[in-house]
Amino acid sequence: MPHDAAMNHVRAAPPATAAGGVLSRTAFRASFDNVRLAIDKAMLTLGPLELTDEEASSIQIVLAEALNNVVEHAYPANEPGEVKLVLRHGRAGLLIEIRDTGKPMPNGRTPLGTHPSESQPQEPLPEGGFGWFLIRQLARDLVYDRENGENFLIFRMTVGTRAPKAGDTSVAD
Amino acid sequence: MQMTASEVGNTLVVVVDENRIDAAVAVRFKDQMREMTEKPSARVILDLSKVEFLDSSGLGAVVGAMKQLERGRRLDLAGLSTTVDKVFRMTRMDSVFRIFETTDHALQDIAHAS
Repeated sequence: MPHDAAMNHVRAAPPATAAGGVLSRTAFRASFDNVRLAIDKAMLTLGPLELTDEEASSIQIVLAEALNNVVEHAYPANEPGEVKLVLRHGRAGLLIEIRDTGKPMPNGRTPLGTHPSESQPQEPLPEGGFGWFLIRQLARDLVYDRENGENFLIFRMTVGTRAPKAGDTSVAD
Repeated sequence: MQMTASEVGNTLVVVVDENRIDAAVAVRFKDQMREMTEKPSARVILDLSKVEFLDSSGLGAVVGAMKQLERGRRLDLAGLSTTVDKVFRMTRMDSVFRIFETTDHALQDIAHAS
C-alpha cells in the first residue's frame, strides 16, 4: 500500500540523493489544452532518457491523469489558476512534482484509486473512477501534502534507472 | 472532433481522425458518437488506429458510447495503439469490448460468424 504522508501531516521532501537534477520546470494556466501542451513538452524534455514505448506511455498516462485532475477539481471552471510541473531525474528514476493553489483534496488525502469494479460494484460498465486507479498502478511513492494554500503532489516513475555507461558524467545531486 | 462514418453492409465503421481522445474532447466524442450511431446498425466498429493517446476520460467516453447503443447492437474496437491498448488492459476494460488489430480484421470476423 503506498504510504500517503498527508496522513501524518509530515512535510514531504523528495530524498535529496536519489532525486537527481531538475530536467524542467513549467507553469501554466489550468486547462485541458495546456495539459496536452505540457505533456508534449515533458516528453520532448525526456527524449535524452531514451525511454521505451512502455515507459513513455506510462508517463503520458500518469501526467494526463494527475494534471487533468487539477484542471477538473482544483480550480473553478471560470477561474483557472496556475499549475506548476517539475521533472527531476536521478538514480531513483523520474520524479514528478505537481503544485497548484486550488482547493485541497477532499479529506486532505489522495483517493485510494480502487478499481471501479470495487468502488462501483453495481455498475458493470463504469465510465468514471479510472483516473486514480491508473495513477496508483503506474506511480510509485506518491505523496500529497498541502502547505500555505498550495497542493503538492509528488511521485516517482521507475524509468531511466539503467546504470550509466562508463564516461557518463551525469550524477544525482 | 474529426470523425467519419461509413456503412459496410449492416456494419457502421466510425474512424476517429484525431490523435487523442482525452479529457479535452471526451464529452464531444461521446456526443458525436451518439449522433453518428443514431441510424440503426447491428454492429459498430470504432477505428482508433489514428489515436495515439487515450486517458481515463477517453476510456469513459468509449464505454459511454457503447452504453448509448440500443440493446443488441455491439461496439467493437480496432487499431489500438500501444498507449490506448495499455489503458484498456490496465483497467481491465479490454474484456468489455471485442478488440481487433484493424478494421479489416474486424470486418472479416463477421464474414466468419455462423
